[in-house]
Amino acid sequence: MKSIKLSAEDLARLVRRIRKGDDAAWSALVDELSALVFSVPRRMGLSRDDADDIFQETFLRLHQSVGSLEDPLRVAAWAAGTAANLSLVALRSRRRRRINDAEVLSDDAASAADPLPDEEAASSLLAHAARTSIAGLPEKCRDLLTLVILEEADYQEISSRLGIPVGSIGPTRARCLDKLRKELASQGFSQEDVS
Amino acid sequence: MSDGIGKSQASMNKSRSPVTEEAILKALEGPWEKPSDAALAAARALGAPKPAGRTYVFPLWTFTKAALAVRSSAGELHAEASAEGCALRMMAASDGKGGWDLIGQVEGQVEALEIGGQPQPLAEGRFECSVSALGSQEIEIVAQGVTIVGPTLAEFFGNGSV
Repeated sequence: MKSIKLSAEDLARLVRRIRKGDDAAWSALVDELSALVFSVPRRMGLSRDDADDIFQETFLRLHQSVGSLEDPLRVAAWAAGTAANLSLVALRSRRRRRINDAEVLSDDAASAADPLPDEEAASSLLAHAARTSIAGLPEKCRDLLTLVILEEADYQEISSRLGIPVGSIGPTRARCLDKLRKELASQGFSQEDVS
Repeated sequence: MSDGIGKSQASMNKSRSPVTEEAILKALEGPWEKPSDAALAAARALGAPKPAGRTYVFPLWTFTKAALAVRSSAGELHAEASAEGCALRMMAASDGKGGWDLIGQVEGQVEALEIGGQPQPLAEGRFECSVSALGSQEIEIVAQGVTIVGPTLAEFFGNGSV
C-alpha cells in the first residue's frame, strides 16, 4: 500500500541539507510537499491550471526563502500558508477580470465569499499530517484507515481485503482513529488550529 | 513572510484540545492531487545546479496591462508585467523593415537589463533598443544580484503578435 513517509523532523532535515547545497534534498522536499501545495488552491476552488501556477510560485518563493526560514520544522506550514495566500490573490484577480459580467458583487459581498486562507492552509496541513501519520501507524491501523478513509472502501471489501470480520471493523476503526488523533496531538495539532 | 497559519504556532502554549475525529475526516475529504508533470519538473529544477556566480529565478510574471498584445491604431504593441518586485513596461513599434524598435522602463531595484542577451543601458530605468524579431529574444533582469529570467519578447507582447 502506498505510504507517505516524511515527518516534520525529516522535512527539517531536508531543509538543512538544502542549505548546504544538496540539490537532491530540494527534489525530495518538492516531492514530499507537492500534493499539499497543489491541493491548497484546488481546495480553494481554483482550476488545475491555476493550481499549477500557484504550485510553481510557492516553490519558487520557498526556494528563495529556504535559507531564512526561522523554523525548518514548519516548512510544510510555510508552504501551505504561502499557497493559500497566493490562491486568495488569484481568486480575487479572477473576480476583477469578471467585472464586465452582468452580476458584479459588491466588494464586501465578494470578500465575504472568499475562502479564509488561514483555515484552508490549516485544513490542508492537517490532511497532510494525517496522511503522513496514517502511514506511520501499525500495519493493521494503517491498512484499515487507508481503506476506510482514503479509499472509502465499504466494510465488506475491507473485510475481504484485510481478513477481519465485518463486525470488528467499526471498533477497530475507532481505536485506530484514536491513535491517529494522539499522533497528531503529539505533533502539535489541536482543534483550535482547524476550527 | 507569514506562513499564513501563525495562529497554530501562537496558540501552541495555550490550552489546546486534541483535534477531533470529525475535523480529521473533514480535512481528508478535500481534493488531494498531484500537480502536472511539467509543474513538478519546474519546481524540482529550481534546485538544479546553476553556473557559478549567477543565481537564476524563473518567476511567474504578472501581466498588469495586457496578457496578450494590445495593438494600438499606430501599430504599436504595449504590455506591462511584474515579477519579484520588478516591473517592466515596454512598447514595440515596427521599424518598417521587419524589425522592431523597443522603448521601455523598468522599476524596482533593477541593476541590469538584458534583451536577447544584449545589456541595455538604463537611464533612470528607461531604455531603448532595436531588435530584428520578437520571437525568441529573452528578457533578463538582474535585481539584487539575482538574474530573473523573464518571458521572451514574443511572450511578453503576446503570442499572437509575431
